[in-house]
Amino acid sequence: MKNQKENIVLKKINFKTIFPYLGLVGVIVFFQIYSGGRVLSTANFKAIISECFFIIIGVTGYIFIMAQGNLDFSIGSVMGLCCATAAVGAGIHPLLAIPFAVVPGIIAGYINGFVHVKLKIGSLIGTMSVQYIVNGILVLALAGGSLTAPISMLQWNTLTVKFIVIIIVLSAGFYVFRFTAYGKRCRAIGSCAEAAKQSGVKIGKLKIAAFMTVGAISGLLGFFSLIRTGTSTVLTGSELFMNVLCAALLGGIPLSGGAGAKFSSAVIGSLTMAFLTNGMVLMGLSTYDKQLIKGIVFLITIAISFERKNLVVIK
Amino acid sequence: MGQQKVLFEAKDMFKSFGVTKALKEVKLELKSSEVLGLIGENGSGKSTLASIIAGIWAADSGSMFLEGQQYFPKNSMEANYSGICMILQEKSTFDHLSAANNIFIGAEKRFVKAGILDGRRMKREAAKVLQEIGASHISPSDMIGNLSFEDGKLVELARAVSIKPKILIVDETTTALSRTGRDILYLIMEKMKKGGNSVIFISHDIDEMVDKCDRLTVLRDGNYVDTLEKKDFSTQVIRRLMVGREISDNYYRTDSESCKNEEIVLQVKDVIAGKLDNISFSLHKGEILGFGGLADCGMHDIGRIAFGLLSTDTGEVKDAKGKKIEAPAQAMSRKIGYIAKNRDQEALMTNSPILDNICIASYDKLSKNGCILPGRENKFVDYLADQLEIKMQDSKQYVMELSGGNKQKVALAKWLGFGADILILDCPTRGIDIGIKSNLYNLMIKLKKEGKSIILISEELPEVIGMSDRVIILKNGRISGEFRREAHPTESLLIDYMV
Amino acid sequence: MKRRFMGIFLTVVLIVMGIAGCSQKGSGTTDKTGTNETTDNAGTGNTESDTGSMPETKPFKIAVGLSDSGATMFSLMSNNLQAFAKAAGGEVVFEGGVAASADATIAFVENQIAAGVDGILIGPPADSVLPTVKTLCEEAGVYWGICFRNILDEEVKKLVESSEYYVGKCYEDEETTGYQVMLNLHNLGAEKVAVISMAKGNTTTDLREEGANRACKELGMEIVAESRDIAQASDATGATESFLTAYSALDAVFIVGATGAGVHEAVAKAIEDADRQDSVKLATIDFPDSMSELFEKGILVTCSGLPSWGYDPFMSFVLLVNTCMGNPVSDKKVTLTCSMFDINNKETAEKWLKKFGDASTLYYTEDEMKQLIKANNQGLTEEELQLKMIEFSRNAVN
Repeated sequence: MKNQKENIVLKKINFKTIFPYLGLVGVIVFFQIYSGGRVLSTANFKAIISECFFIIIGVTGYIFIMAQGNLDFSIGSVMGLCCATAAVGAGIHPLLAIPFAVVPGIIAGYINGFVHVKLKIGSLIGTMSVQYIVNGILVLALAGGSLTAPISMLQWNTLTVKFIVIIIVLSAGFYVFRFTAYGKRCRAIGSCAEAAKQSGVKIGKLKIAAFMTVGAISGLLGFFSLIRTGTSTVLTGSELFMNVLCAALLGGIPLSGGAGAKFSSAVIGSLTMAFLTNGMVLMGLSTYDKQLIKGIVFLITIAISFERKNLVVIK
Repeated sequence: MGQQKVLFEAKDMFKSFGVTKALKEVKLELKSSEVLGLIGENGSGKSTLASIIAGIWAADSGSMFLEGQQYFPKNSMEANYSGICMILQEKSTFDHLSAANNIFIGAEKRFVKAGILDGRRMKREAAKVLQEIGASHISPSDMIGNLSFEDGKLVELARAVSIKPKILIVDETTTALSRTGRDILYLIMEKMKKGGNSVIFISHDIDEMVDKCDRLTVLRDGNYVDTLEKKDFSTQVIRRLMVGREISDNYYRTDSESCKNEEIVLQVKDVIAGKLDNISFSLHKGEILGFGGLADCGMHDIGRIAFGLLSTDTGEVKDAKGKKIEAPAQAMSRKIGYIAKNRDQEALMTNSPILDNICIASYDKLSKNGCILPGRENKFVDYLADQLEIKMQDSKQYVMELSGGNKQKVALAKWLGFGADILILDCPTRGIDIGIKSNLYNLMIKLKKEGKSIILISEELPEVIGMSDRVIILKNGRISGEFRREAHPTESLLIDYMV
Repeated sequence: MKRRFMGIFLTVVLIVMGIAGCSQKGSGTTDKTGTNETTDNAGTGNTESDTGSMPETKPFKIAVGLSDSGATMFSLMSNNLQAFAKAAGGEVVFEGGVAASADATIAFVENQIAAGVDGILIGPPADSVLPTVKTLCEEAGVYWGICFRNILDEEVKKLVESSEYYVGKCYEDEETTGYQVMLNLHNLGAEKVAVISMAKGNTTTDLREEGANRACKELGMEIVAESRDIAQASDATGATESFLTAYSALDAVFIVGATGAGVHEAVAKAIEDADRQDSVKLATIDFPDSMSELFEKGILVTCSGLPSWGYDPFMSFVLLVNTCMGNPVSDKKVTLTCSMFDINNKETAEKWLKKFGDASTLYYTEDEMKQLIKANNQGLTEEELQLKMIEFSRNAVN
């Protein structure tokens, strides 16, 4: 009797931990069957890579912010702005597009960090304000129009480049998050900021660093958006934030951050989002159904996997 | 005695948290007009049992009877209605409400007339209750956030009394109270008894238990061990029942020589900060420097300024070379470690694995070319866990799942692994059972012998006297007395300097 | 607890946003902002008795980056495309929200290629997305065409036209349309005009405004104020109110383009509320749903637009279908232009509404549609298609 009870409890905990994996496999299997085997085909591989490219790279940067228990609402607008600055840089020389994209991203990240750490404004409100400001700058800069990249740059938008970039960013992200003091301290801040501080972690500096990391990643995405569409408009990046946050939560990264933030979640979540979106297109679902299904899947995932650990203190 | 009727009874209580079984077939019998002590080491399940009785948690199985009736509270409010009320170890008042509001929280209906809350009548009633328990220094309109921790506890007591409970459960409250606070609590317990009601009393302090309880129920590792009648009380027997083996009576230092090393490792000069008013002292190599005083005398701020957590208004904190210490990271670069009184909120990341908690201070040391390999971390943690005999499943276990004593060991492992030469320990044995307490004392002695210096801040006078080379007593933020070990200061002498 | 609330809050926000996204209505103006999409299989195994007259045709699937429902004009368009696909023995898929942004356009192309379509029809938001579309389609061997848009950038144009998978485009002469509306206003005696338009950089409205500006120069008119990026009716009300307050001598409001439903009605209402309906007139491009009432009230004086909104994608679709069936209309890249159609009074408006306000109206009969398939009609050329378009405009309401 007692043992049975114990086993059930054990199973429940394990189930919660592996839920994101089950979700991914479930999504793939479901669409593989209902799309007539098209999901796992070589032709679709390219679409999946393209679909998850922005999300997976976005989440890789975002996990540092989330590990600290913070959020950054401004990533989409920063990406939009960086796409515009990249277009300006590309006008001078195509190779200049990369620094022209990443540097403004880092600056925007620093501003986010400054607002949060020095002005002591919650990251939610702070980054939301920065989002509006950056958006405003973008609208003014584009004067309601759009900027374009030299056509020669569009050749960089190949599967190989995307694949290599994903591999590099993922490995770098994984290494920094798991095996460096920076990554570990980010998680410590999310777990208990006061305890981290009393263990010598320089909270303010690390928070700013994380915002700058995300800013740099947003800038990089701005660059890739430019070579993907050849265009910078006010709408560039507008969907990034929701996609990245959904992927992170689907992958099981807790909003509170801390030790529960696992790097594998970033990959799992991004793939789940990509397969979900792509699978629904392959099935030819209407936008109504897509929204509905995404909402339901998201809700179920959160409901089941949200409280990752049985948080009870035993005295 | 003995013929009183049974007021409350619990049988075959089971409760698990995850894989940990907190209660295994535990029983409890409470008679009317008695103070029943519930005693056991940390993790023995006494708080869990009390919480179940108070409706905070539900048992997995088991049955409870209140005055012969089946009793099964869904939540603590329901328990309150049934006449059972609990004072918790931790703070459970609402900071942004006034004392009066806190006292009558959940019972505001009593003061509502035609849909309007009669705030004045509520305050009057609150003043009456506070007066009744002897805490008339608290005004009903004071915001709880502005009161000291102790006064906050007294407001909780007032709330409990206002409910007029049949059973009052007092869980580890006395550690947070000064002598006056305790006296108030004891008086309330006495009154409860006289009124035919009963108290379940939980404390770590065996002497206190022996003094105040009529009967004692001992728990160990979630099991019911025994129930002792007042006539059978003996510290030795109780300890044996709690720990399951003999424990030597004296676990403090046995020598009576103070440290004679003149080498200064930390110097605090003319500091005004927080509650501290013009404090100067120096810490020598290999010395245990004890600080004692009343709960709000400012002694906890000593640790905070010495670690650079609290910046000084005037004056300075300097290391051996005369360099200033102004931030925790700076203090750490001088090999200073600090464990706050508020262990779970400040010293540990309870939401993280043991491994992360131990390694966090030593990342610079553990990293090689910017890379921290899991192998190095594991070796580091395994070594320390072994040294300190931390009871854990593995190093991936979350700290929150550990008992208080093991948590403290994790915090200590962090600083030992870091290689701290100066340790600042604020209430290191707070809420820790005797078994681990003696471990910690031995460790402190060992560290002292290795030439490390320790600042020991404690609300337990015997501990300060028993462990320190020098004792400094604070009163209202000022140093009121300093005693060397050879002088054999007694508890009553020190109290004279405290109040 | 806090994190739990946060999670619930975010989930609720997500759901609400999802619902809001669903209920967003396609507007009745220039921009194709509908957000719906469906698939319709027009039975590839056609049971028509005269299949014998269709030599060497193969079944095809074409994706169209336009919304197929949400407003009558969308349904009308999709019905006609489906009818034509059926006549040709193929399948058509619609997806809304594509023209809104460069990202959405590229994602649409990538996903539809993955879904295995043979042809793609888009109304691109800007020229600069076309090189990527070209590369994607070339790699996948998928034919593609453009509707509603010309290619203005010479470099892009050259690049796109060098691709063997690019079929052709159909567009309107927006500049002339803008000029025409201003001319109509001029003929009614208007001089000072306020403009409501889309953000700068939108190829369509930029050209229309160019035409309007030319009209100003040639006819001595003046654009006294402008308001951009109107996304909802309340914005339009606000803009009109400030026009009316600031310019007492205002003669007309010209809606060059806007997204969101009810913009025309809101402008008319604002003019009425200010009691200026006798002096301030409304002119617009494309035909609002409430056109007939607005003419009746005497506020709306002239509209100009495609004879039917869906006619442009229909003709582009015809090009694409023929190529996908293996019989391209022309060896060269085809360019078709739609002539505009004016409505200046209530009678015409009512006739038009009766015909094109009904989603089941077909542009051509089944037999006529079959004649638009080169396999059935070897004589079909670019010139003939262009002639058919002029004829369609001329006879739109007869």
